[in-house]
Amino acid sequence: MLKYSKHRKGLLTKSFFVSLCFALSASVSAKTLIFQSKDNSASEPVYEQESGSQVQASTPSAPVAPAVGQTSNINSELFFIVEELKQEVMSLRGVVEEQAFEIRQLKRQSLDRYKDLDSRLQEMAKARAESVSVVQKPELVTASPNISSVQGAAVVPVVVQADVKSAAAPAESAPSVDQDQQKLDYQNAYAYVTKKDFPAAVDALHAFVEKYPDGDLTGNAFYWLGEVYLVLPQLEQAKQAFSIVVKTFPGHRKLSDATYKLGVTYDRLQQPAEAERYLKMVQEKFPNSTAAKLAKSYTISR
Amino acid sequence: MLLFLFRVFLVSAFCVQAVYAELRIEITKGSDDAVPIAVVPFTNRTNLALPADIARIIDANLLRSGDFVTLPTNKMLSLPDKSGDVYFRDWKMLGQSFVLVGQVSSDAAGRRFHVQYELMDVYNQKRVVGELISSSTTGMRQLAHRISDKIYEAITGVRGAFSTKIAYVTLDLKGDDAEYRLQLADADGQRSKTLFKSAKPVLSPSWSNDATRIAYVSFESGRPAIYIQNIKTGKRKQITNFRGLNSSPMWSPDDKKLLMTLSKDGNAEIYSYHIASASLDRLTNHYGIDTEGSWSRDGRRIVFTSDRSGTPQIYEMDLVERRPERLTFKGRYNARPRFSYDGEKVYFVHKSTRDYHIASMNADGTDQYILTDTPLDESPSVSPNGRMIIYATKRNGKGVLGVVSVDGDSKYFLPSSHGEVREPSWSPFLN
Amino acid sequence: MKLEAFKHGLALVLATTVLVGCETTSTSDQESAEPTAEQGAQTSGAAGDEQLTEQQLAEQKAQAQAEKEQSAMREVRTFYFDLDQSSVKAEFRAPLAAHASYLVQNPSAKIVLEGHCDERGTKEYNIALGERRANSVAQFLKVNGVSASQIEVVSYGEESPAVAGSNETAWSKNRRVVLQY
Repeated sequence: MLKYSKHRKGLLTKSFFVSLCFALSASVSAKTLIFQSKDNSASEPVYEQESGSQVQASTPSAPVAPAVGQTSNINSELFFIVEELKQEVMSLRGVVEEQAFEIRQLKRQSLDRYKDLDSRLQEMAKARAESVSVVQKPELVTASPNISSVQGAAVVPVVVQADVKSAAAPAESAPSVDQDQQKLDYQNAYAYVTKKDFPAAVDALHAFVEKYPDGDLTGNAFYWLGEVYLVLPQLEQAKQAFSIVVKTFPGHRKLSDATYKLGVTYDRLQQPAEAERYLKMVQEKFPNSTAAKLAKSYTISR
Repeated sequence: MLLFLFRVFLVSAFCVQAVYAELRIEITKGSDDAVPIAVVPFTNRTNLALPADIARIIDANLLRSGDFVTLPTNKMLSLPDKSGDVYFRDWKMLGQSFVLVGQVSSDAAGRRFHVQYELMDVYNQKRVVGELISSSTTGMRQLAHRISDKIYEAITGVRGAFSTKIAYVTLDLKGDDAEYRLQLADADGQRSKTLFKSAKPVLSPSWSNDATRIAYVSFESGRPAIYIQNIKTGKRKQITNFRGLNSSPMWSPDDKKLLMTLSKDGNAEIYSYHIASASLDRLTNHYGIDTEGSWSRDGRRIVFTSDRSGTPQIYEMDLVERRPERLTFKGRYNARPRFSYDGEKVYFVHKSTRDYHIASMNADGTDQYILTDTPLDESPSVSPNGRMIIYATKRNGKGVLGVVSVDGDSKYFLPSSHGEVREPSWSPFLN
Repeated sequence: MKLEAFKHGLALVLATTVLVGCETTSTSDQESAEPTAEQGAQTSGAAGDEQLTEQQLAEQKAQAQAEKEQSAMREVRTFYFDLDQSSVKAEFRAPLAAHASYLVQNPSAKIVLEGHCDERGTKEYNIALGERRANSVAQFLKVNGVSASQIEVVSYGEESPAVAGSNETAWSKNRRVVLQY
């Protein structure tokens, strides 16, 4: 007995590995651990491939079927355990991949935030230094707040609104803008978007909103600025541009799209609560719009 | 408000050559920033009936692209046919940015047609492009597509893809009998012809980059095998017939190799098959499913679907390093990726809460957008100019083809007059 | 017979080893081995007896009954799967085991396993998924002693739905493996 069990122990480890290996490499055909007896008394354990069936088939006596059932039950059990383990490993792999992704994202974001802060500090310093020279060039004064409101990525939206309004004020008193010229300018600026020349598009669109702060197409221009920034991606600026459309162009035909894209931008900025707010808003305010449908199907990453 | 074309339902009614017409176009959504253009009917200076209405075809092409909104003929104040007769003020009043005029003449025998067209810029009051081209009587549709390409490029700066082709698979069920056909048609769904017919499934057509051959999967032997068929000669050749799966063929940029999915070594893995030497290079190795490989334009990377993380997701792999990197992290189903022609974007199938949509992302996995809103969208294939994606979807329970612009802004369907249509593949540029 | 019993013991120990871990003391080995040895002795004694005892008759009857049940279970030829899943559901294990033992006893019998999916998802992924489902069934049969040469696997993906329609009732009927002799 003792000899047997010793023997068996060695075999056990072997068999364990064998079945595991087999199950893991799904392609390898079934290997079964069996004993082949030359005569019935001296049974020597032999490891064989794919011959279990023959042994069982050649033993004619009664309890064959249940015996097959039981042995294979154990085999099946192992098979299912391995299947389960495979699935478990796969889903764990999924979790690892997802977490690695999130870590990468967080790293990138903290770097972006730092850069953003740094650039704003530099701009502030520059603005202070330039404040003297600005007085000498009065036409630049109206332009600069507008630009900084978009590019400077002000954190508080109220500030943006104020900036845009103040920029718009002088334009109202200016002589009425030639509609055709405006349309042409818009199309020229938009052409850069279609040609995917994004830096040129940014310049042209900024120039456009500067020239026509209160034009028919100004909302469109801000919208496309947002789109371009989203592609670049300069998310803070994108947020700014979409916010301007949403907050200062009520009733604009790009409003539903801009609201949706603002939600998307917040999602990209890892602000799921804000993202959800705007994605919900677009569905409530414009239930029949394409943007609402897109918002509905959009999955916010958390 | 002219620009406001959202959700305009329009069934285009041109049925010229309706005999061949298998796919008819239905526009469901246009772009908000479409450029207004008037395509004035071309004057017929021949004394013959023309085989195709060129202006009509151009008008439909431009409208379908979503980048243009065209002016209906009955709104035009005049119908000029040459640049000298164009009164810019009129067109400006109608809100048009561009006007296309032209005329058709023929040689004495009436065997060749000459088409003269001119594209005018209304705001700058000048001619943008114009040309005199000729064609045989049977080449009129191609000619119209060629002019459409020129106009599209002159205005948008992007090469037009109207004179390209699409391949797709149709399925007709007659009682218990199925008939699968591999079809070839113009990009607008017209002039379709059958390349291959079988009672067993036909799947995954893929164009070679020189546009001369199509690789696909056929079950004609009862088991899947990959075939290559020459479009001109119609000659077919069986390429693989391994044990298990033979699926998802996709040409390498140099047309020397095919990416394919085989399960001869146990389960679905992606291989690169060198056609001339018939040699295989196994690219993936995982007990999960790896399939639906797509080659980048530079041939250095592939993207593919793998469920090694428990759900199907899209992975990218450098062919030298061969370490798969996962690209998609949103949702539990992202599959069948296809690189854009410039290699910057990847289009794929994304399952949102319940439905399957076509989505786009940057090649590094950022900027994921859902482009379509029908429930069972699959098999995206990009037009060679990178502007549109053709895909398969279901409408009223029937398989049809849809086309969406890469920004998701404009959209149209190519419903078939009979049978299920699926698995579209947009050809490369043909010349 | 001794052999048979020995195998039981071994398999039992094997299972415990897997579940508990690789550390097995020689004592626990012995404990689980002992009843096995006794069982083995009993069975081999019974086999030597030439007269049909009541017990044997009962056994024969039971066997006939079992065989009937087995063949009834073999009538189950379609095995359904959950969405995006390819593991054999618990309810199909017994019927598959019945198929397995039939195939083991009839080594010349051959089967084709056809893997299918519902229409959702991409065609090529579904072809691979259909194959994985069929392979999963094939593996189960092989584990139960069926020779690889008896089994052929073909996947049709979503191309051959059993039921037409775009609803869960149809889909659940289409996610299946069909076993054909």
